[in-house]
Parts: sequence; C-alpha cells; structure tokens
Amino acid sequence: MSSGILTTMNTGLSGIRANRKALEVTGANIANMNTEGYTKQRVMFAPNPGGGPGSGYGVCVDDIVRDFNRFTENQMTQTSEHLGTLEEEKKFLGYVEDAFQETEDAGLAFALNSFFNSVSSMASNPANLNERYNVVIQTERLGQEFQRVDKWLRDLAADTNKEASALIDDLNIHLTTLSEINEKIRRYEGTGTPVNELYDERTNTIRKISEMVNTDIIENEHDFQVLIGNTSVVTNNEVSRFEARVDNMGNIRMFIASDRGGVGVDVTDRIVEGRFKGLMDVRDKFIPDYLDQLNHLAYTLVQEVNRVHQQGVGLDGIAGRDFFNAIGSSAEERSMAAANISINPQLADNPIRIASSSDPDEIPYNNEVAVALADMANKTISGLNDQTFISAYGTLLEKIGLDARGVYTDHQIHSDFYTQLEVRRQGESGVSIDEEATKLMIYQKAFEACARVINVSAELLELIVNLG
Amino acid sequence: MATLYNVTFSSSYLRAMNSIGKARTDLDKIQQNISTGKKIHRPSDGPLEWYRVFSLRNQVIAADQYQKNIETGRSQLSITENTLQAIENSVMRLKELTLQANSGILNTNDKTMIIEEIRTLRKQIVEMGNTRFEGKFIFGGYRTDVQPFSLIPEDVNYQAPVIYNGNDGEIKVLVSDKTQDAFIERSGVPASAPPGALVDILPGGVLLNGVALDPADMVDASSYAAYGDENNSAIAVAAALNRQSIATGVVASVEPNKVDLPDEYRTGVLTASLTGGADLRLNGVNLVGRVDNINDLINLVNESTGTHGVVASAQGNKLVLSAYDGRNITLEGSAAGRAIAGCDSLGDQVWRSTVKLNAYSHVNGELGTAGMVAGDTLAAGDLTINGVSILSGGGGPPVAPATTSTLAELLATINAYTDQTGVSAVLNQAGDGAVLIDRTGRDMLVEASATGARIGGLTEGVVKYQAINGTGFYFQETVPNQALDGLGFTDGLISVVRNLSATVKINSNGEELFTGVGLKDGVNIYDTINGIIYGLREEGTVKVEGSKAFDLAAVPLTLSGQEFQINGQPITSATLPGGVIGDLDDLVQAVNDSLPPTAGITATVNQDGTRICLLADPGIDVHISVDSPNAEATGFYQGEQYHQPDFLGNSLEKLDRFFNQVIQVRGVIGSRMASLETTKKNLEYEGDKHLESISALEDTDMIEAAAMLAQQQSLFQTILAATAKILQPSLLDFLR
Repeated sequence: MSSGILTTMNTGLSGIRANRKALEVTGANIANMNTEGYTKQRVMFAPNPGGGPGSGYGVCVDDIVRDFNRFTENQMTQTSEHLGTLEEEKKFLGYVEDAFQETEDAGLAFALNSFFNSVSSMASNPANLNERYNVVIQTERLGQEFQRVDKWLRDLAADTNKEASALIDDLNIHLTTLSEINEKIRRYEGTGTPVNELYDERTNTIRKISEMVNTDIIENEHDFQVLIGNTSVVTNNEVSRFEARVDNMGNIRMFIASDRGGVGVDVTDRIVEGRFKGLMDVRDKFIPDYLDQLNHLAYTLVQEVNRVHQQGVGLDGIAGRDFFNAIGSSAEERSMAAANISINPQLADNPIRIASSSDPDEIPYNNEVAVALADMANKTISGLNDQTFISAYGTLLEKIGLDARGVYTDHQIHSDFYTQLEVRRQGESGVSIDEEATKLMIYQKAFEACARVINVSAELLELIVNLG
Repeated sequence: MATLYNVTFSSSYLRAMNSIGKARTDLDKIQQNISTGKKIHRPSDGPLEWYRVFSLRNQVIAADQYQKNIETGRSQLSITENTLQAIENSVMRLKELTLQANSGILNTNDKTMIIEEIRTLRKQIVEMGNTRFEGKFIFGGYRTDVQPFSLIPEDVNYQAPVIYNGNDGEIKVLVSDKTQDAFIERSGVPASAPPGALVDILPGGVLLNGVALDPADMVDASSYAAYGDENNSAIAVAAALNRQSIATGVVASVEPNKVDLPDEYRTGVLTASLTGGADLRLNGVNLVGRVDNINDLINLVNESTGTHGVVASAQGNKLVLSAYDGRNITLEGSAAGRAIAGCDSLGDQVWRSTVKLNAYSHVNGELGTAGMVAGDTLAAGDLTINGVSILSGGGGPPVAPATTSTLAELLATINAYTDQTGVSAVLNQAGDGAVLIDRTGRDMLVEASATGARIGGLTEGVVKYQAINGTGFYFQETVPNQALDGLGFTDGLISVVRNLSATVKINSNGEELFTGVGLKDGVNIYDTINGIIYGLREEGTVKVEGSKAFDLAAVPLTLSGQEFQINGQPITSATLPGGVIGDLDDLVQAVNDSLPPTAGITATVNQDGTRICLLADPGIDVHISVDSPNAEATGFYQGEQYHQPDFLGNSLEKLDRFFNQVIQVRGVIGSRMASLETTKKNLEYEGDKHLESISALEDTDMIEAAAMLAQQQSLFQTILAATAKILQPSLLDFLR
C-alpha cells in the first residue's frame, strides 16, 4: 500500500514536471510572438513508461515539436525565388522608364520634333542665319538627348554589375551561416539541448538565399544539402564559395570554385531565379534590347539625314557634306551610334554650310533640299519597319512600357501570393495568443491538480503514519 | 491542434497591414491623378494608351509647325495676289488707251500724251514685277536676290525687250503630311473599262471636287485615260484635265496618289534628237546630236559654232547666245527642233530669226561696201561719227590709211578714231560690210555727206542719219544678251506666248508648294507695249532695213535674193523672162512671184506709177531688207508709208492675251490661297480632335476621380477601424 501512495506521489511529481515544462514552452511561444520566422513549439506529453521502481505511472514530455507545414515552407521558398527576380526587374525597369521620361517640353521625342521643326523653319527662310543657328542648336540638343539616354542605360547596366557583385558576397555569408547552423544541429541534436531555434534559423537563412538565387534543398535523416544552380554548395557543414569575376565586357559573372582548384565553373547561366537572375535579365536582356533599338534609331537617322543632306548645297555653294558626323556601318560603330551622334563640326562652325539648295546656281533661295530634310519627319523609313523616326522611337517606348507593365503586374501577383503564404504560415506556425492563453490555463490547472495529487498523497501518508 | 487556431495574431496583423498598404497605394494613385490632372504618367501606366498619346502629341507639334509655314506661304501669296491685281489694273488701262488711240479722232498732241502714259505704265508694270516681300523679289523664282526685270536705260524708244533675270524655282513650304483629297465623280462614263481602252468623257460627265471637267480641255486623254484601275483612272482623268486646276485647286498626275506639277507649268523639257535635217540651224550650221538637258544644248551649240563667234551659256533653264564682234546670229529650226525647248504649242511652222547680238552694246550699225572706188578718200564732213570727223590719213595712233578704196581701209580709217568716237568698226560676218559697235552704250550718231556716204554705201543726197533710227544702216532687231527662254528661242520676230507660271503644287506627300508668280515673259510686255508705240508713233510704218534703193536705170537688174528680202523671204528675178528686171512692173512681179501666198503680202505699183507698194494682210508686219547697188532707181525710199498694218488691233490682241494670263494666274494664286486656308482649317480641326483624344486618353476624369477618392477614403477608414478592432481583443483581455 505504501508503495502505492509513494507511486501516486511520484505520478503527481511527474505531472508537475511535465506541466512546468509545458508552461515554459508556452511562455517561450508567447515571448516569441513577434519573432520573425519563429515557429510555434508544442509539447508532446506521453505516459511515463512504467516498470521501474519509483517510476510508477505518470507523465513525461515526450518531445517538443515545431509546428510547421512543409508544403507551405516550400511554396514560400519557390515564390520568394521568383519574387526576387521580379523585385530587381521592377526596380531597374522603373529606372529605365525614368531615362525615357517624355514630357511636352523635354525628352528625346521633343528633341526630335524640335530638330525637324527647326529644319522646317529654315526651309521657309533658307537665307536667314538665325534659323540656321537654331538648326545647329536643336541638332546639338538632339545629340545630347541621345547621349543622355544612352549613358543612363549604360550606367544602369553598370549598376546591375555592382549589385550582382555585392549579392554574391552576401550569398557567401549566408551559405557560411548555413553550414555553421548545420554543424550546430549535428552537434546538439540528440543531446537534449533544444535545437528547434536552430531549425528556424536555418529556414530563415534558406529563405534569404532563395531570394537571391534558385535554391534546392535535399534533406534526409543524415544529410542536409543545398543546391544552387544544380551545383551542391553546402553539404552539412561543408561549404563552397561563389566568386564574382569580371569578363572582358566588364560584366560580372558568377563562378564557383572548383574542388580541384583551377578556374572554377561559370554558373551564371544556371541561375534561373532570384534577384541575381533579375539583375542578369536587366543587364543582358532588357537594357541591351533597348540600347540596340536606340542605337539603330540614331544610326538610321544619321544615315538617312546625311544621304539627303549630301545632295544639297550649302550657302557657300559646296555640296556633298554630311549633316551628322558619319557613323561607320560596322556592328561596333553602330552599337555606339547614340553615344556618338553629333552634328558635323563644319556645319556647327558655320551654319551657312547647312545644305538647303538643290542647285549651286540657285542659292540661297532654292530650298528643295531643306524641304526634303524637314519632310523626313513624315517619311517612313524602311530600315525602321516603315515607321517614321518619331513613331519608331514611340514604339521603343511602348515596348519598354509593355515590358515594365508585364513585370509590375507579375510582381504584384507574386507579391500578393507571397503575402497569402505568409498569412497561411502565420496561421499554421505563428503564435496564437488565444491558444497560448488557453494552454497557460490548462497547464496551470494541471500543475495545480498534480500538486494536489501530491498533497493528497502526503495527507494519506500522514494518516497512515498516525495510524501506526 | 494547430488548425483550430489558423487565425493567429500575426496572420491577422499581416492581412490587415497588407489591406491597409494596398488601400493606401490606391488612394495615393488617385490623389496623384487628381493633383497632376493626368492618369498616365509613364509608359507602364498603360503602354498602348501612352503610345497613342505620344503619336497624337507629335502630330500636334508637327501641325503647329505646318501652321507657321502656312502663314509664311499665305503672306507671300497674298502680296503676289495684290501685285497681280495692280498689274491687271495697269493692263486694263493699257487697253483703254489703245482703244482710245485707235479711235482715229486724236490729234498728235493727244497721241503724244497717250504714248507718255503708256510708257509710264510700262515702267510701272516692270516695277511691279520687281515687287519685294521681306526683301526678296517675289517674281524671280529662286533668284530672289536679283532684280528680276530690268529695262535698258538707253532704250529711249522703248524698242528693247524687258530683260528677265529670274528662274523657274519654286520656293516650297511644307504644310501637311497628308495627300490632298481629290474627289472624282463620274457619270456617263463606264466605271471600268479594259486597260488601255479609250473613254470619251462627256460634258459634265466627270466632276473633280465638284467642278465639271470640260472634255474639250483634255490635253491628251488618249495617253492617260486607261480606266482599268480605279485609283489610277481617277487621277489619270485629273491629270488629263489639269487645266481645270484653277477651279478645283487640284493638280494631278498619273502616278497613284501622286499629285504633281503638270508639264505645262514647267519649262525646258529638253529631250530631243536633233538630226541634220535642219531641226536646228545656227548661222547656217546644222546642229546634230542628242539633247537631254540645257548643258547638252550648250555644248552642242558651242561645238558647232565655235568658229562662228557665237557662244552659248546657260542661265537657269535658259539658253543664252552671245556673239562677239557684232556678228549676226541666225537661228532656224523646224518644229522638231523646237521641241528641244519644249515648245510644242507653236505648231509646225518653220521659224527663223536673225538676231544680232552684241557682246558690248545694244547699238549696232552696219556699213556696206557699195560704191567704193579706187582712190576714194574721206574728207572733212564726209563721215562724222559721234561728232568726230573721220578723215583719211588722220586720227590715231594708228593713223588712218590714205585712201578708203577697200573695206579694210574703211575699217582701219574708222578705227583710227576709235578712242575719240567710242565706236569701232569690224568686218561683218559676210565680209562685205562693216559693223559699227558702240562700246559705251551711248546713242551712235553717224552723219555722212553724199561723198562719204557713197563709200559707206549711203544714199546720195541723204545727209544725216541717226544710227538709232536704223536708217542709213542696217538696224535690225536688237536683243542684247536676251535670255532665250525654255519655251522656244524668243526673238524679235516670234512672239512666244507662255503662261505666267504661278504654281502651288501638291506632291506625293501632299506638300503644298508655291512659287513666285513667274512674270517671266518680259517679251510679252515688250511686244504688247511696243506694238502700241509703233502704231502711234509711226502709224504703221513698214519697217525697212535697207539703206539703198534699186536703180532701175541700171537695167537689166538681176536679183539673186541676197539683195532684197521681205520678211526674210528672198526676192529673186529668176521667174522673169531672161531673169532680169527691166522696169517697175517687173519688180512688182518678181516680188509677187517670190512671196508665197502664205506671206500675206502682195506688191503693186503705187498710184502715180513711180514706186512699188506693198499691201499686207491685217496683223502682218512687213520687214524689208534691201542691200543692192541698184536699188536706188526703184524710188524705193526709206520710211515711206506705203502700208499701215493693223498695229493697234494687234496690240489689243496681245494685251488681251496678257490680260488673260494675269487673270489666269490670279485664279491660280487664289485657289492656292484657298487651298492653304483649307489646309489650315483642317490642321486646326485635326489639332482640336487630337487634343480631345489626348485629353480623353491621358487626363483624369475629375468627377470619376473624386468619386473614387471618396470611395477609397471610406474604404481605407473602414479597414483601419476594422483592423483596430480585430487586433484589440484576445483571450487575455477577457481573462483579466
């Protein structure tokens, strides 16, 4: 009998212990209510394994588990990869739009219109020197506008390289962190030291990495492996480093150091998601596309205007001059057309050299060539898909607008989706005050009840002792 | 279980914050739309709408420039129109004066006053031709910096034509990027016919912009009116009926959608193959070769005639012939030859002219060799040029030869006095006479005594002749460096009628182009006024260019055609029995036999049986050239009034023609101005429409925006309130 009472006391004691632990966990949950990435923990009670003397019946804390949904976590990882891509694209396309900002009295279209209008005015008054000076000024402005946009775009491309380089450094830090967490988990798991916080930390770190690059996780009982661009970079506590290298175009490329030393492997093209991918898209896809079209426009303008201008005669009776500085037809020169477009300095020095007449005997008032030049504003150019200069430029802007709008919309959708996932995760893994408050009461009551069990047992024991 | 609590504080918080953020963003956007008045700020706000706004705005900007250009064009056309109106008034006055002069009840004084007024009017018209707009001459084509019309100051008798220094240039102004619509309506013609089929256009059958086209005006319908293609045919008809362009304001050509300046407004269509068949002869030399432009023609002339002292050069699209040393230039051409100058409208008549061109002066005289005998000398009073006596063995240096028995000696004698007289003598082209050239542009006064005159072939007994009046010397039509314009080689004998070209053209891109009215036809003004002057001054003097009379005492007289020409037609005695002229009747017969019936001139003996009398059909000028040692005895005197051609009628006709040209040009100018006005209105209308569209696409609808703002505001506040409530209560609150 006595052993029975003692057993009861022990049972009460086990209940006190277990519920105290449960209260601790509940307290920790409440304390971490606002901790980012914190996963709510739950105490798993189990009946005390019976058998041993003094153990008797009772309860024990079988495990403290993290309350999370792996599916939601994976969704978030994937979504954050794509969202990372879109973040960068959105940011940079916004800058691109800024470069092409057109208003009624500024911008490249305005400069183009002003240029043609100045020629038209000159055509009405071919002998007037002021009109000719105006043509020179408007042409110089046009050149400056082309150069401004061109430089802006090239600067943006350079910025993407800087950001890519910083991103790779950041990525390396996170990878190192990840390997350290793995090491800690390996060391503490099974020793009774709680490791749930380490798992949370690892999840957070992976989330940050997945924002930057597409990340795959292979996890089993023994190993934890992180693949980036299909290349294993973290295996448990081993980590490889990425390296930012500059290629001959001055562009950053992402390399991973080879196991055998040597040059390493270029994994740039294997990165298909994440902010890094976004930067690469902007640098290698969007900006080159816009630059191509801008340069093509500048090149075509130079060619066409020069062709017409060469047929004309300046007020000094000399024919065959270029209006713009000639731009060669090699791919390299064409790719620098917007940067190099500028009025023939001969004309800028002395605007009477601007051709307006078709006949050297009929200067200054023959204005056929000036009219033809002004009329080029209306001419469709076969090299520009049968568009006029202005409308070709408009089409470029429309393309930028469509690209940007596509990215913005996509970003909005994914951002909303990510928020939904976040909400879901918070529902599943976040701390609910209501729940924790309820649990507090439950565990408190259980604690009190267990204490009562001991108390009752003690009274019983005393009774029995007094009997004796 | 966790699922029981799937709404946690954090999830509620996240959801609420997300909603607040979104509502805030929407609110911001609406506020921005209201404050800027625009709903599209950058391309990504609506790429398609943005592009439309972009295109429309560019069109508005272009239209602004077009309107400025239209103003420039209108100003110039307006001053042109005003000037033309003034010219029209002057011509009206000329007509009145001519009619007055023709009435026959005027005394000499009245006539003199009329002449004075006519001369003044002539000057005025020329001055109006030199009208300037913003410092530029408006009637000079591209040569707006050179005075287009000028008179020769020494031309005291108003014989010289007005010199035109302008060209055919068209000052163009861009006023639209659209093709002007031309509406063709047809009735009474098949809507379609096989390609190449000829279609008659009935009166009233075709309307162009509402104006009925007169089939009689079809220039060459057969070459255009292919009705196979709907689009082409419409324009083709328009092209064929381009003469209606004044009424319709449309000038068209056969190219689809291309409206071009018709050829009749152009000059100098120089494409021809000149053959040796006298298509074009210069001083008796056939010009042979292909001519595609003015330079070809110049080269051809210069290659062919270099040895003849004639040099051709170009002035714009015109051929200018210059001769050295006072040589004659004789141009002869067939109809085909004339085609080089694009002058088909003159018909097939063979034309010919003798133009004496002088590189130095417009005054020329020619001395013949008749009567020179061995040992002749010039004594004091024999020959005086510009008041300086020409003496054998005098002057100099060099000193004149002692005798003037030969032409060479005569030339040397005169030239010994060159410095004093300002006149030099050269051998004429035929080598049988001397040409006097005045190098100073003054009148040349040649006085000759009977003796001295004989040497120079001057008629005995006639003492003084003024070179300027042409008697005593060959004084032929003088055209000082006259530009021979693109419509045929103008000269004193052939009056070329050409349109004053005032053209506004609409080309492929619908550009309206205008040019100064080319009041190019200085010749017309000259002819017209000159005719009156002749008529009044000399009352129809037969113009005789010979200094000699036939000497019938020297019978039998043989005329080979060299000695005596009427209107360029050589008079020969070949048809007479024995080929010789025995008396006055023979001479009359020789003239009548030699002149073709088309010449419109018949010869007869005068009333008292002493002289030959020429009768000319109305309107025909008689131009006589006599150079015969035996001319004297016919009693054929200079300046005698045998016949009075209808100068006044002729003048009136010319005036009418000129008047009609001015009216026509005014019509063209008027239609161009109307067309510009229409274009301007269209631009304004389109501009308004564009601005409306831009506004609709781009501007914020304030009412809608205000409503949305209110809606978003209440939504925002509701979210805030709801969030505050949701986030407040938790179980803990109730446990207190």
